[in-house]
Amino acid sequence: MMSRICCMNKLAYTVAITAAVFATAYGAQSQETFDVGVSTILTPPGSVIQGIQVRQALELVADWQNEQGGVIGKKIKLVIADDQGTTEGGRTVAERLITRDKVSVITGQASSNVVLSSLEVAKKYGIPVVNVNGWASGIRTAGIPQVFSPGPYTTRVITATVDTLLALGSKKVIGAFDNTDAGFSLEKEMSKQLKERAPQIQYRSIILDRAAKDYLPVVLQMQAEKPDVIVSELIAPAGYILMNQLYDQGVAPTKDTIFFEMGGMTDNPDFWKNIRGAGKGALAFGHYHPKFDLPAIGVEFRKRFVERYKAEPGRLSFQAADALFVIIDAAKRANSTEPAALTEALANTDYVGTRGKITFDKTPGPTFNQWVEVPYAIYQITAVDQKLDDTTLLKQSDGPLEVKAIVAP
Amino acid sequence: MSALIAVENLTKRFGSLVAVDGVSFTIGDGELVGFLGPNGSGKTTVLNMMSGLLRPDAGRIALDGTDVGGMAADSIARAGMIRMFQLTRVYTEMTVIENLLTAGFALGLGKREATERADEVLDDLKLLAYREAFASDLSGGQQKLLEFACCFMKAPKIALLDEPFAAIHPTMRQVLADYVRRTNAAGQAYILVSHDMPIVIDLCPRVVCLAAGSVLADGPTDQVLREPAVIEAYLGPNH
Amino acid sequence: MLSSMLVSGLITGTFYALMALGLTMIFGVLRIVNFAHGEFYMIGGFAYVLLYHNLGVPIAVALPAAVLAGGTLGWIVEKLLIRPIYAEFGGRQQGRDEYAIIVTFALSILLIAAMTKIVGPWSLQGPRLIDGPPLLLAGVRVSPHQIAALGIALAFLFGTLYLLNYSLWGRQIRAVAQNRSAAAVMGVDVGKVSTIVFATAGGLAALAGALLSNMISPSPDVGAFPAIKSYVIIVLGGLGSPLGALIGGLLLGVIESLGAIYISFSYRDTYGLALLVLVLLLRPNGLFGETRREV
Repeated sequence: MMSRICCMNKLAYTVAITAAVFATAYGAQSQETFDVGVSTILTPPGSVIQGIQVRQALELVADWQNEQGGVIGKKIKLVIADDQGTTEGGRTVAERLITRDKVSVITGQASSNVVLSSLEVAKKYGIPVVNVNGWASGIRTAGIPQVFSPGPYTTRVITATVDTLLALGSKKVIGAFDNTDAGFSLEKEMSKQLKERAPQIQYRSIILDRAAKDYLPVVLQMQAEKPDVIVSELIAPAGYILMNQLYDQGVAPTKDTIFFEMGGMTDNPDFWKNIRGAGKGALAFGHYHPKFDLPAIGVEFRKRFVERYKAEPGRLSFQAADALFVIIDAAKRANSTEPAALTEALANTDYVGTRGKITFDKTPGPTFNQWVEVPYAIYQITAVDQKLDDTTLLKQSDGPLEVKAIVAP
Repeated sequence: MSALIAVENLTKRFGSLVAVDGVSFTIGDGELVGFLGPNGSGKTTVLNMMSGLLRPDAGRIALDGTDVGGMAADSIARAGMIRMFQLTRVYTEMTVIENLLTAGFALGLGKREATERADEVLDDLKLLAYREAFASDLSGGQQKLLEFACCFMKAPKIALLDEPFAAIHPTMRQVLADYVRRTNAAGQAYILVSHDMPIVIDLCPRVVCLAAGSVLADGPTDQVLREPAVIEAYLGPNH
Repeated sequence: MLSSMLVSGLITGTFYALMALGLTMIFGVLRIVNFAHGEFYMIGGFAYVLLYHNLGVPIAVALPAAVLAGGTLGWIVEKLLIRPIYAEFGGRQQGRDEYAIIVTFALSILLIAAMTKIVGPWSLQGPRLIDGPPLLLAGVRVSPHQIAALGIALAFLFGTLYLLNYSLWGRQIRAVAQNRSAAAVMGVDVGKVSTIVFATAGGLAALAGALLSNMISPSPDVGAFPAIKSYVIIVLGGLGSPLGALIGGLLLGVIESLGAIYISFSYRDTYGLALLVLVLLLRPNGLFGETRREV
């Protein structure tokens, strides 16, 4: 009899606790938050350093906005998930954020393959996606109305790169790309543009495995070919290894061969922890430079970032901040956090973000739903351990390239 | 005579088969005891339990008063109960001397001590000529002698020999038998499992006869071999 | 080009061999594959880099400390996690391989996650052993650091092989590898041998991690790449064969290097696997694998 009572008690407790848990969960949901799904790279094989920069910026902007009372009376709640920068990760994370976490919108994606794999999911559920760093053309040409790109994109990056190669008067160029969707997209566009716009340049491209740890065979091959410019799209950590090996073998940067870092990794927080002499003299492509004329919101973002993280924000942090600001703006204009209303408002974005006025192009093709005029910078690193502030800004967006300002290493 | 080995009620089951069923015996210091029994009578299983290769399901194995039932094989070997297998287990990828040094080191000898002892044992067993040869190049009988030599790198309290005389050349068998006899005379204890009746009769003053996992008879060799139960177990009921 | 590729391949191969040697020793003695082997490499790399950068420990101390860190980890892992495989009477045979796979795999995940928590997900470049202008070796620029690293790696490789063959403990290890139960019955302390082997393997992998930390900046997941290479090498060289690990390592380094240039870089990782398939077709036990084993 005693044990029977004991059992009954246990059962009652279990029921009570379960009820309490459900109540709490339900309560939290009905408390009216604006749930923003964040899919980004928190563990390898993707570039974790990119994911960290994205996450830092998103958390900062969300807290900042919530300080001011949130969006249309709701607090922003970031639901952060790890997509590992892989195709499978991108798809499952998007699916989970939408079906389980019931988010209204997804942002944070830092790599092309993740964005590409979430396209269909976004379309299926009608949930808007504002990606941070999906470069591949396929993201735009798919023409999915829910997917928006306020970040860099292949045609713009390659146009800027070919402009640069032409301004430099280069004759022989080697391009190195990684075996990711972004890499393949860039490689294709680069070959195409060089053929059309600069047939005089002798060009060869090479696809490298981003998981490899030793590129010496290719480096020695490049050494034998003696190019004027080596363009590399490899992101960290693969990009670090390639840069170091090129430098160690005396291939680039040298007075004869320019190293042009196109992948946008020179403002990574761990760049100088992995690159020493190889950085000096390198030309770099970025989507932010401290010498940009930033709008007020950009200045404030930078200030808050430095205060909170004790480090300068890199281009990815600016890109991520803009993605969330655009979402916030759309919710305000739509006066709703419903996915359909958000999508419609996003399409009509006209908002001054951290680096300029953001609008989304409606023309189908490689700039669909893209911030066409997304700013960029080309700069030269002239010393080891140099801060981004002190690098030589050579070209700001569509301005001319200051060829004379380039110094041989 | 104090008991060097005291086995009490040793039992081992494999599934529903009771391989060893309540076996008890004692062995005194310096005794040489033969283990007899038809195939499947449990001799090797008893030896496996004694040497730590099998955990007994029940019973006790005491070596010099310490319970070793449950100890790891290597600890039992270092405690002084060493085992030689029916199938030879020398290290074929090592030379003869390396085999011996390995055994010596395992039993706690230093390098010089081990080398001296190895040469002594090799000489005793007429293997000195093969000192630097690879064990894989020795004949089956020579390998058996080598394994035997390894067991005696440091004189054990008792050596458990499982069919040492099977499938070896008669001259080597003689060498081995002489060695056992000589060391036993000097006080070395043995358990000798063998089907070779003349050798058992020749060497062992006492035998334990097992059948179907139990001790059938235990006593002076000539007495045990005259017992009808033993004859029946060995030669069949219709004999 | 050919000679420079050979040099580059041999350098890479030496470090592959350093990793594979420990892995094959573990397999030889314990008959298990250690899926956390890459993490010993990672721990060595981080120990070296963090001791130098964060605590200002001189290189001459940081390098041995890294080896010690890997060795200690191996020692602890063997005592805590591997022991249950064989602690009882010749070992639990049922489910033994599954146990080993799950335990070492889980350990690998745990160590990566723990390191990510402690130092963050980024990579950190290790300091050079020596600074100085590079030397030209068959068209490859080799820095004094690489030469020193190579020298240390070779010394440890051949040192380990020598000790395995000629020292008393080395013979015990070989004895257990050849026949574990026979060695045990002969009194060889198989537990101690297993611990020594795990600690040695941990130390060797950690050494590789520290020596390569200047070329391949350690990050928590850095171990996956050398570990995968090591698995290929030990099967190629023959499971459990130390000499096979050495030759297999060098062979893989050279094949990858040549294939990368003369076939295509993109498929670099497949050349080793193709070679493996070929070797296994002709010699199912690997290049130096045993063809028989005593019962």
